[in-house]
Amino acid sequence: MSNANYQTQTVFPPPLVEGNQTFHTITDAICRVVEAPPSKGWIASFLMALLGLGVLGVSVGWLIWEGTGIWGLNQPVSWGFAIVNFVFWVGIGHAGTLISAILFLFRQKWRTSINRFAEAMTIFAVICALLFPTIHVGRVWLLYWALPIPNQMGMWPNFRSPLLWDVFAVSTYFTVSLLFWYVGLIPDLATLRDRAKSKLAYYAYGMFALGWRGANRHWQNYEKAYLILAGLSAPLVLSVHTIVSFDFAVSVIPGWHTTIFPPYFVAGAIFSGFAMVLTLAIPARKIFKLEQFITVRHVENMNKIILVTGMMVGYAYAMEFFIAWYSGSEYESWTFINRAFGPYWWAYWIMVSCNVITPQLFWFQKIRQNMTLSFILSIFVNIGMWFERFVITMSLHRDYVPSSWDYYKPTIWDFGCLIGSFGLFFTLFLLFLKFLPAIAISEVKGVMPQADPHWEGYADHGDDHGSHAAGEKHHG
Amino acid sequence: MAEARVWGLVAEFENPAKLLHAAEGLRDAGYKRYEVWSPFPVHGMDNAMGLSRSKVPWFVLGGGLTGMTCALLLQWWSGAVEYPVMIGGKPLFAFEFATPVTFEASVLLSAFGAVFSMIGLNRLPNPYHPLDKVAMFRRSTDDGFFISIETRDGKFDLHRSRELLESLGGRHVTVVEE
Amino acid sequence: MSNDKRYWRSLEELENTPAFQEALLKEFPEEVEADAVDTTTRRHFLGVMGASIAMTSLAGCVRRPEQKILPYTRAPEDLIPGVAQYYATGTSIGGRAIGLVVEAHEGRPTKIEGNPGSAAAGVVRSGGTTALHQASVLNLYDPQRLRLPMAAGKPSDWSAATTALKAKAEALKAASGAGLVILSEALPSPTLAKLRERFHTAYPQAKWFTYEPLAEDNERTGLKAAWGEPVVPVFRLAQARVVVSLDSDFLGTEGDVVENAAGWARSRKVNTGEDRMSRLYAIEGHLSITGTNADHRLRVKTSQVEAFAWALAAELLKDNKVVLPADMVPLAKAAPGIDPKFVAAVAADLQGNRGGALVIAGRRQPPAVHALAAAMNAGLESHGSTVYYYPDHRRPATENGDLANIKELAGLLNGGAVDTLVVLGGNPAYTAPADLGFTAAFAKAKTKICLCDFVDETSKAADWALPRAHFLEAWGDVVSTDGKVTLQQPVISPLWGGKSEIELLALLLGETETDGYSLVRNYWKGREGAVSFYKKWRKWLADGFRTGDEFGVVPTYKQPAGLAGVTSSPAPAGEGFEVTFYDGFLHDGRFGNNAWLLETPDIVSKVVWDNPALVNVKTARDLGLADEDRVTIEVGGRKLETVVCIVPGLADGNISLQLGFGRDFNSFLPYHESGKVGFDVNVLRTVDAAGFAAGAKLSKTGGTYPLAKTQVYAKQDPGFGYAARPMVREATLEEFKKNPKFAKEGIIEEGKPRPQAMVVHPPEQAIYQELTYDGEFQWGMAIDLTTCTGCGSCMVACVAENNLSMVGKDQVRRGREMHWIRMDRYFVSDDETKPDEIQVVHQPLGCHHCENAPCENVCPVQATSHSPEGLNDMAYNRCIGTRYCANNCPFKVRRFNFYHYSKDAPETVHMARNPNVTVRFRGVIEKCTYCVQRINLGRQASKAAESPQAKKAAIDAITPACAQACPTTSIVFGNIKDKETKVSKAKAADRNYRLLTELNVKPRTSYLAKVRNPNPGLGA
Repeated sequence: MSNANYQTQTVFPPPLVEGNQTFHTITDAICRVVEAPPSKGWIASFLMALLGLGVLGVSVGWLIWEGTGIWGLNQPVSWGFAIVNFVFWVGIGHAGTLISAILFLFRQKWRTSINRFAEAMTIFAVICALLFPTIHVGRVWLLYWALPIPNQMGMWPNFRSPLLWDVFAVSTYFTVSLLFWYVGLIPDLATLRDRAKSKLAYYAYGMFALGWRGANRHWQNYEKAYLILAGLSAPLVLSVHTIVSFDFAVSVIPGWHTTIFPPYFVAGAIFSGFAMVLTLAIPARKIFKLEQFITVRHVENMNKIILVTGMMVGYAYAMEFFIAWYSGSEYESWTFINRAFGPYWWAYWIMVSCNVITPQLFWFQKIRQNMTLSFILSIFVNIGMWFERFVITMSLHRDYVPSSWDYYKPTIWDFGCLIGSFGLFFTLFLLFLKFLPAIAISEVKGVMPQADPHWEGYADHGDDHGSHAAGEKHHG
Repeated sequence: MAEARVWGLVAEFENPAKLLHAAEGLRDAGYKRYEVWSPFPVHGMDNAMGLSRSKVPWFVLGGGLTGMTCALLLQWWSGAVEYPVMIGGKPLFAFEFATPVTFEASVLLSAFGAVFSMIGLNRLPNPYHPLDKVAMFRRSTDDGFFISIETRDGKFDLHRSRELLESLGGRHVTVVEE
Repeated sequence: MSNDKRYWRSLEELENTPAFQEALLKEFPEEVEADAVDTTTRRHFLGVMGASIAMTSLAGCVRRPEQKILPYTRAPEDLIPGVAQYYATGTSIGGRAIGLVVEAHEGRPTKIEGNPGSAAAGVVRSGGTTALHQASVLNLYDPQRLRLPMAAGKPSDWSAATTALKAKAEALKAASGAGLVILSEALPSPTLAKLRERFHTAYPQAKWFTYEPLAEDNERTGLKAAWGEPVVPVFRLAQARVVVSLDSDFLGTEGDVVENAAGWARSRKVNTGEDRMSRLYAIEGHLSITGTNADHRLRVKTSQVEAFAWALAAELLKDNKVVLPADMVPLAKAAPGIDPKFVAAVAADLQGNRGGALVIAGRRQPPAVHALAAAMNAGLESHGSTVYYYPDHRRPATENGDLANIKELAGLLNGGAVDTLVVLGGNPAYTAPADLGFTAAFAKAKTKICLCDFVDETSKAADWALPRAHFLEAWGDVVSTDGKVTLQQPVISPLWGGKSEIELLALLLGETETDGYSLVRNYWKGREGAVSFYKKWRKWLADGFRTGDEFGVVPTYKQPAGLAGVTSSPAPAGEGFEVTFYDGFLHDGRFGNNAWLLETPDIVSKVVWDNPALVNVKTARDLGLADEDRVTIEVGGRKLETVVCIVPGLADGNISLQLGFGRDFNSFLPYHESGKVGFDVNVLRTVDAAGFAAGAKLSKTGGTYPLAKTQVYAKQDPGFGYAARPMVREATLEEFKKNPKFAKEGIIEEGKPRPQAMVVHPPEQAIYQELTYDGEFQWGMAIDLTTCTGCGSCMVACVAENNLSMVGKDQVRRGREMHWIRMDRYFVSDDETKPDEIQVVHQPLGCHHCENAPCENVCPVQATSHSPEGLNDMAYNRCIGTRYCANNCPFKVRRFNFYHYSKDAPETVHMARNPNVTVRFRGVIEKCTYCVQRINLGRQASKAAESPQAKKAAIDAITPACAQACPTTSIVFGNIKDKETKVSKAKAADRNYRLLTELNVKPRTSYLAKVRNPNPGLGA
C-alpha cells in the first residue's frame, strides 16, 4: 500500500477492537484458541460434524455404487437437490470473498475481524459446492472429460456449455480463494510458528509460513499481491455466480431463460453468504470469547448488508414477475404463476417469507444489535436462499409440453447428501477454528490505533495531524 | 566450529512511529542493505525506506495476458480446427461463448502471477535467517519492531551503525552472527 | 435356420443332468421372494435373479459359467455375420392371422414387421402391425418359458413324454377315443384343420373344443342367425364414408385391427379441402381406441348400446329407406335415455352415404346387435363395398362358439366324462369364466396334457406340461380372415425344445412324420398337387404367403334372414353400475409376462403395470373416489378387490376392467417387486356376462394402491386461465376447408387463436451466423395426427428396434420410463363443467432433431451433436450424465439411465437385442435417433446400388421402426432435401406445423394437424 494519507472521515463510531488491547494481547487472545487443548464444546461440535460427514460418506458411496436413481430425479426434473445444493453452497461462498476482497478494496477496515472466518467459509462452502456437480453426474469416474485435457480420443469439451463455464469459473474461484486465504494466512502462520511450544507445531506452521519474518520488503510485495488478489477476486466473485446463473439463464426453459439472473444471483449470493457468516460468527464469538474482535458493530454492519441485499433479491423476485408478464411470452408468465400457485407454491412462499419479509426486521436497530435475533434471522435467510434455488430448479417440473409434466419428490438420499454436506462443511470449519487463527492477527493489529505511525500516542513524532481522542476516531 | 562472521546489527524499536522515523534516518544516512521488520505492514514505510515500486503487478499482467491468449487459442483451436463438431446450429468459434472461459483463465493466471511472483520476489520459502538466532527477534511476528543492518552494506560500520541505531531510538542493539 | 442347430450353453445342459433340469425350473430361489418385497434390496433381488439365471447354466457354481461359443464350421448358407436376415412368416393372435417379416441377427430373431403383401386383394395393409405383434418376439426369450416337459410337476424329458403319449394314444385308440377331449385355441391353420379331420377319424368318439377367452360367440351366433351359417365380417374401411361403431374397438383390439386401421386411415387422408373424409361415430360405455378417434361419441352404458342400435334401426326404417328382416321390425324402436337427435343424425348420415356406410357391432354386444348390424349394412348397400362376409377358418362350421365350448367342456369334466384332456395351448384355468370353476373341473380329468408356454394356472396341475414352441420356432400356416394363406416359417430352432400344436397332434395321431416342416409341406403338397410344387413352395416361403386364390370360400352375399332364434332384450336404462371387460396390450393374458407390453401405457389411462378399474369423473365424484383408492367391485355375489383410476369420457356408471392382468405366477419382470401384476378381473366374468355385467356394486375398501402413469397432466390447457398450448392443433373439416393453413397460424380451436408469441419466432436476427446443414441427405419426419389412432404400436416397435430398457412400475412411478417415442394423450372439452364430455387427441412424440438443438449447446463434453444430415446424434460412450441436455430439451424426450437398466434384464432377454444399436449403460442419456442404424443400412444399400433409380429407391426405402410399425402409415420419414419424397410432400402440406416454433429450435419432426369430421347436423 502506498503511504497516502486517508483522510476519509470514519463512518462507524464504535471501535473495531474493544478493550484495552495491545499488540501482544491481540496475538495472545487469538492464538490461545489454537494453542489451548480443544474445549468440550469444540469436541462435541466436531463429533456432530463428523456424524454429518459420515452421512455424506454413506450417501455418496451408495450413490456412486448404485446410480443416480437413488435420488428422486425423474423426467422432466433431471436436476434436483444436487444442483440446488451446489448453487446454495456457491452462494454461501460468495460472502467470504466479498467481505475480504470488496471490503478490502473499499477500505472497510471493519472487515479485518471477520475476513479470515469468511474466507475459510468460502473455501469450505466451495468444496461443498464442488462436491455436488461432481457426484450428480451419471458417470463420476469420467468427469475429467469436462476438462480440456489432450486425450487419445482426440475429443475436446464443448465451450458453448454453461456447465463447462462452471467448471472453469468454480475451479478458478476455488483456486483464487484458496490462494487469497493462504496469502492472508502467511504472516499469522509465522506468528504461530514463533509461539510454537512443540516441535511438530513449529515445523508444521513453519513449513506453511514459508519463512515469513515480517521484513518490510516482503510486506511491500505482499501488500501489492494481496491488493491485486483482492482486485481480481472482486470481479471473480461477481463472475462466478453470474456464470452459475448461466446454467439456468442460457437454457430455453421458461423460468430459467432470463437476463435478470446474473445480478439477481450475485445479490442472492451475497445475501446468503452474509447470513451464513453470521450463522457461524455469532456462536463462534461466544464460544471462543472473541466478542472483542467480532463486535456488535460487525454484526450490525452485516445485518445492514443482509437488509440491503434482501431487498435486492425481493426486487428481483418482483421484476421476474413483471418481465414474465411484460415479455408477452405465455410460457414464461405461466411459469411464474405456477411458481407461486402451482404444486410447489409452498416452496415459493417459504422463499419469499424468509428472504424478503423477515429481513425487514433489520430496519430496527434493536434487532440488528440483538445477537439471538440476528442468529435466528440469519438461519431464516439460509433456509430461504436454499429454497430460492429449489424454486428455480423446479421450473423444470412444468415446462413447455404439458404431457411431460411431473412432480419431483426427493428421497432419503437427497436429504442425506444435503445434511451430509453440512457435515463436511462444519468438519472443515471446526478443524480450521482449531488449527488456524480464526481472525487475521496481523490485519487486526494493522487497524489498531497504535499501529498508525501518526497515532497521537506517539505525539513525540510531531506529526501534523493534531491529536484525537483515543478510541473515538481513526484514520482509515 | 570456526569463528562466526558478523551478519549485521539488529535493534528493536518501541512502536511503529519510532520505526518509521528510524527507517527514514537510515535512508537519509545513505544505508541500502538494511531491513525493517514488523508484525504488520507499517504505513509509509516504503517511502521511509525509499523503496521502489513492487514488481508484482508486471507478473500479474503477464499472467493475465497469458491466460487470455491461451484460453482463446484453446477454444478456437480445439473447437474450430482440431475437432470441429456441429453443435446446436452455432458457429464453431465465437467470442460470445468464449468469453466466460477466457475471463476465468485470465483471472486464474493473474492470481498465480500475483502469488507466485510475491513468493518469488521475496525469495520464499526461506527456512533460515541469521536473525532467527536472536531471541527477541521472535517478537517480530507478535509485537516487536526491528531494524537490521547488514555488514554487506557499503556504509556499514559496527560502531557507527550501532550508534546511529541507538540515536534513532533503537534498543537492545545486538550483533547478529551469520 | 437349419434344424439340427442347437443352442446349448454348458455341458450340463447338453447332458441334461437331473440337477441341471431342476435348476432350469427353479428360476427363483425361495428366499428371493421375501427379499423382493423390500425395495431397498431390489438390487439384491436383481442380482440374485441374474445369478439364478447364471446358475441355471451351471448348477451349483458361484461364478458365471464360461460361455462356449461354437464357430461356424459349417456356415449356414447366405449368412454373413453382422448382416441381418429377413424371413417371411406369419402368426395369429386370438385367431386373427397376419403375415410378418422377421429380422434375424446371427440366427436370433430380434424384430417383427408386417408383411404388406400378405393382405388379400382389396384389403389395405401397410407394413404395420399391432403392438402385440411387435412384442411377441420377447415372448420367445421369456426366461420363464417352460424348458422341459414336466411329468406331474417333476422335470422329465421329451422321450419319456413321447413314450407316455404314445401309450396313452394306443389305449385311447382302442376305445375309439372315448373320453379324449382336445381343447385348442382358435388357430386358423389349414394343416391343423386337416389333422383335426384325421383326429376325428382316428378317435371317432373324441371331442374337440376350440376356445378363445376373448370370445366372439356373440358375433358368431348373431351372424349365424342372420346368414344361416357362421361367417366373419371383413371390413374394407378405405371405401367407407360413414362408420358407426356399436361398442366395437375395431381400430384397437377387435378383429383384423391392422387392416381396419389402415383402411380407416386411408379414408381420412385429407390434404386439401377437396379430399373426402370418412366420419366415425362411436357408441360405447368404455373409452376404446376407436372411441378416442371418433368424430362423435355417444356415451351410453355398454348394456344400452343395443337399445341405441334398435333406435337407429327404427330411424333407418322411416320412409322405408332401409329394408330390414321382418322379425327385426317390431323390435326397432326408440328407447328412453337414447338421444333421439343423435340417432336421427346418425341415421341420416348413413342413409346419405349408402354404399359407403358401415355399422360395426362390437364383441361384447349381444347376438341381436350383430344380426341387426348385418341387416343394416345390407339395407345400406354396404355388402360388397365396405363389408364382406367370409367363412370362419378357425373352426368347423358345426362347432359352437368359444364360451359355449368351454361351458360344455366344464360340464363334461365335472361329469367325469373326460379321461384325457389335451390342452393345445391356452390357459383356461385363468381365462375361463369364473362361474365354471374350471380349475376344480380340470382336476377331474384323469390325464391332463398341456402344451403350454409356462407352468401356468392350468398346466401346474397337469400330468404332462409340455413346452410349446413359439411361432418363430415352429413350422405352420395361418389363414387370415379374408382367406389369405401365410406360411409360418421358423426363424430359430426351438430354444427349449418345444413342440407346436400340429406336432403334438401328429404325435397323438401316431403319424410317421411328426415334424412341423413335413406336416405343413405335405399338407400343401397334397392340396396343390406334386406338379411344380417345389417351385410354388419356394415362392410362398420367400413371399411369406400363398399366391393365387383366397383360401376357402369366396365372400358371399345373401339377404340376412333375421334373428332366427336370437332373442333381444335390451337392458332398461338405469342408474346402477355395470362393469365392462376390455382387453388391452396383454390380450387375454397370454402377454402377461411381456415387459414391453406391460410398460406400454394404456391408451387412455396411461397406466402401466396395472389394470385399475376405470371410472369416469362423474362416477368418481358421486362415490367420492379418488385416483388410487382401493375399491371392491361386486357383481352377482362375486367380488373383486382392485384400485380405481379416473378417466374422463367413460359412460356414467360404467366401470371398465382390463383383462389379462393378475396372472398367478412369478414374474421375471425387471424392477418389479411382487409376483403379481395387476388384478385378475376374470373373477367377475361369467359365461353369460363375459363382455359386460350389469348390477355391479362399487365400494371403497379403504387405503390406496400406487399406480404408475406415464403422463400425469391430461390437457393442453395449462391452467390458471392461460390459453391452451398449441401442441396438437385441430380443426373440423369445415374449418379446414375455410382456412387450410389453420395449423400454421397456431389455431387449435376456431375463434380462439393462440397468442402469436406461441406460434412464431420473433424476426430478430440471431447474434450468430447459424450453421447450415449441407449433408447429401436431410432427414425429416412428419406425423399425421388425423390418422394416428394412438394404438401404441410405434412405441413397442421402438423398444424392439432400439433395445430400450423396461424399467418396471416403481421406476415409471418415479417418472423414469425410457420410451424414445411416447404417446401423448390430451383430453379436449368444450365445457369445463362437463368433464366427461371430452374428445381425445393422441400425439406420438419422439426426438424432434431440432436444427438449433438446445440440448447440444449445453452438453459440456460434446456427447450430443449434429450430423451434417440434420440428425441430432448421441454418443453414449462420451456421455458423462450431467442430464443438462434432458433439462434443456423443450420436448422432454431425452431419457436417462438412472440405474444400469440394461444389465438388469434377464440373460435370455439379451438375445432379443438388436446388435446394430448400442446397449446403453448406467449414467448416460439416450433418445430417439431416427433409427440411425436403419439410415446407415439404407445408405450402404444406396452406395452399393448401381443405377441412379436404385440408389434413390434405397434411400427412399429407409423407414424408422416407428414408421414401419404404424398400421395407418401416419408416420412418414425420409429425405426432405428431395422434394419428391413422401415426407417432403407431407411437410409441404397445408396442415403441416412444427411445435414450439417460437423457440426457433427448428425441429425436423413436424405434425400434420388433426382434422375431425363432425356431422354439421350435430353441432361442433
